[in-house]
Amino acid sequence: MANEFLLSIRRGFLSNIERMSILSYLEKNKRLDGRGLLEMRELKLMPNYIEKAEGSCFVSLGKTKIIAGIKVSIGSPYPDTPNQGAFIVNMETMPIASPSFELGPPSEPGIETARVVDRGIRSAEFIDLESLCIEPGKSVYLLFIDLYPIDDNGNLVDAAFYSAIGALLTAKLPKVEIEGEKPVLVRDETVPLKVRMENLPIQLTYGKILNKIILDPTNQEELLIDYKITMAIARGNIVGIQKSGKGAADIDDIIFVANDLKSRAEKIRQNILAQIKK
Amino acid sequence: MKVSREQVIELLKEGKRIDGRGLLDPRPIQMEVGVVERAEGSAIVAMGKTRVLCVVRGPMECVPSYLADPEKAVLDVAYRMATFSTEERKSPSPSRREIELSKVIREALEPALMLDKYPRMMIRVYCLVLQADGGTRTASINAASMALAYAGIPMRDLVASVAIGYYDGKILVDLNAAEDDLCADIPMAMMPTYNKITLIQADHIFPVDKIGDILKVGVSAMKKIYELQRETLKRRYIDIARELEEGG
Amino acid sequence: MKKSSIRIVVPGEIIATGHNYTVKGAANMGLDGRVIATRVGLLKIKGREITVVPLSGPYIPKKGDSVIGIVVDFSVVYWLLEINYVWRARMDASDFLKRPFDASKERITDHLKIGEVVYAKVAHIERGVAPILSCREKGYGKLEGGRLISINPVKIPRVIGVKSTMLESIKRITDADIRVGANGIIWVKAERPEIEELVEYAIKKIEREAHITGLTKRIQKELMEGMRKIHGRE
Repeated sequence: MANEFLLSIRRGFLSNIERMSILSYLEKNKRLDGRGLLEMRELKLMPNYIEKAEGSCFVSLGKTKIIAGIKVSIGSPYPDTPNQGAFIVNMETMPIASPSFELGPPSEPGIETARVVDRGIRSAEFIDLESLCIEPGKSVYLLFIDLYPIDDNGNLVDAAFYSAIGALLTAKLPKVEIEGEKPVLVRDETVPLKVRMENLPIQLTYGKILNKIILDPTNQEELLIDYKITMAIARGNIVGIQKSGKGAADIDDIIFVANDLKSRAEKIRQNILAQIKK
Repeated sequence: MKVSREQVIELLKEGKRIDGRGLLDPRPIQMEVGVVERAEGSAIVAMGKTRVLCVVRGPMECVPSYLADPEKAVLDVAYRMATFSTEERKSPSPSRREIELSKVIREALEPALMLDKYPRMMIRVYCLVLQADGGTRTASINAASMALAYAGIPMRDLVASVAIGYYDGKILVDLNAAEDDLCADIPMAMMPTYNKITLIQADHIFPVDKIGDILKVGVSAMKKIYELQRETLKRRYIDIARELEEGG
Repeated sequence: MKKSSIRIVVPGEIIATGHNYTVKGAANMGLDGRVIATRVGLLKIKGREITVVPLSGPYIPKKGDSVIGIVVDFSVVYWLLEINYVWRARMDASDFLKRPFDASKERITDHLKIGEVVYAKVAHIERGVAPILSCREKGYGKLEGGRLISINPVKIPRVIGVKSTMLESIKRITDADIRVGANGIIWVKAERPEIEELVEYAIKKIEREAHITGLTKRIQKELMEGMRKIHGRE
């Protein structure tokens, strides 16, 4: 049982001895779990985890675990985009992954995470929204991407992002039949969801502690961090930035993050695609 | 694959079920404990396609404090279905059904817990249905029992649970969603060491004189699930067990 | 005399039937003579003595326990500390300073601040209220430097060992200053961080292999090898 995490998270801050331990490791450019400053934990994707859902993916990023599930329904398009379907990303924060979550509607961190994940995917134009059109101006597919954190060992926002991507990459849309006047979903006949593979976004989160930038923080590190920068990149373009935390960011750090992310994006992309194919 | 009511009825007439099981066969069951490291106790139970994750937190401070009992711990259970667990997306806000089931699950577990060991404290149990195909409350109870034991909460016994069905003279074990639409659905739970029933509910309709047989079939099915629960808990400590066998 | 045997039991498991057993630990003797386990634990039977040692469970403080606490809040004359229990513990300024505390002349935060770590004794415990801690005895007080290690509280007795054999071995071989809290927190301070890492490794190993015989010797061996490697690097 990982007592150390329960203790520091329950408290909400680190004791001065724990803080000194993390800082003294950082001074040597190391982290408590043996990683280098800019080393990511192992990312594992298990798509089709919930067979009844139209799309799903269980992701573990180190010990952080989250499930994304996609449910599809039919609705009216937004008036300004009559030929496009729609999607919305939502994160529930049940007290499963962390004792800091409370039962009830999603908390502030839950909503922020959902919106950040949504932004990267939307700005990259990853989902082919035109392909979700059934009858222009009248009916379109609506995709609900719901995220359920299972275990929070830090950096839920990146784990959440990859679970949404994994679910989208393997999602299947039920076919539509017109019954009477209304379109109805035929759940046992499906077609794969159309996504633009060349626009696949890659997102990473970096944290700043004193003068060190670390990649993919654990929740103990998150207690020490001055601020975090989450950034998403697609096809050489930045498609999302979120600065979070009470500290003030250095301009150089933002540029550093952009360049570091750019240098890693291709490798992460290959890793994701390899795992989805299995 | 969408199954029609008529198909279920036709098969039942021949004593068969849509997934090829015999009337008294439960669905394949998979159980695991300790899946959420950040929680004091956790377990995942899959009964056929139904899959439930249960997390136990506590004992902790009783919140709100006016609920605290000076003589024993308060047990708080929340049963929720993930939005993607059902065919149509389930709204994340709790439905009346989820609230009723939270209570029923709590009362199925409470007799087994020695709550007097933790006065003024609270033990929270969260059951999240990841995929629903009938028997979600029974899978929740099976998972919650193991998660509570894994967390080290003192218990008189584990609680095992299964849903028994009755249709047209036939008694069925472990109903899936298509079957519980059609049959009288009788979920039950028990503490096998004490031979006591901690949950029983029923809907639809069945003859009074069948209740004895239904309970008998249920008890036998629950005892088998109980063995699986015990094995799942012991398996978690398998390294220790193996060493003890070899050398201890 | 029956041979001693060990196995894992789960709640509800019937261990024995009969009235002339002594039952210790996580098991109950019912009116019907059945001895039933109440937690997941290790069952040890020696003759007519049945013991179930729990393998998991929350830390419940007892009077006299030595614990490691972290200051999380304060008031005019006392601090509140997190000790891995349901409620925070309280320590009065006078019980830490070992002398009377005059609130009109001193500020409590001059002596202990939020986030600082203390080795203290549970002076008083009553169910449902904050336990009272005290540092009046020799060897208790603020801890500085070193590192904290967190393990399952049920394994702490094994880290100490019968008659303190395990703990004394570790101290002797590594020359480290070690304080063990019954609440599952251990503080280590050694000459070098590599030695602290070695002690942490040994403690985590004890946590994993707590029930396997010959553990003390194995730990001693690994520690000596580890120390050799560390000094060999000089």
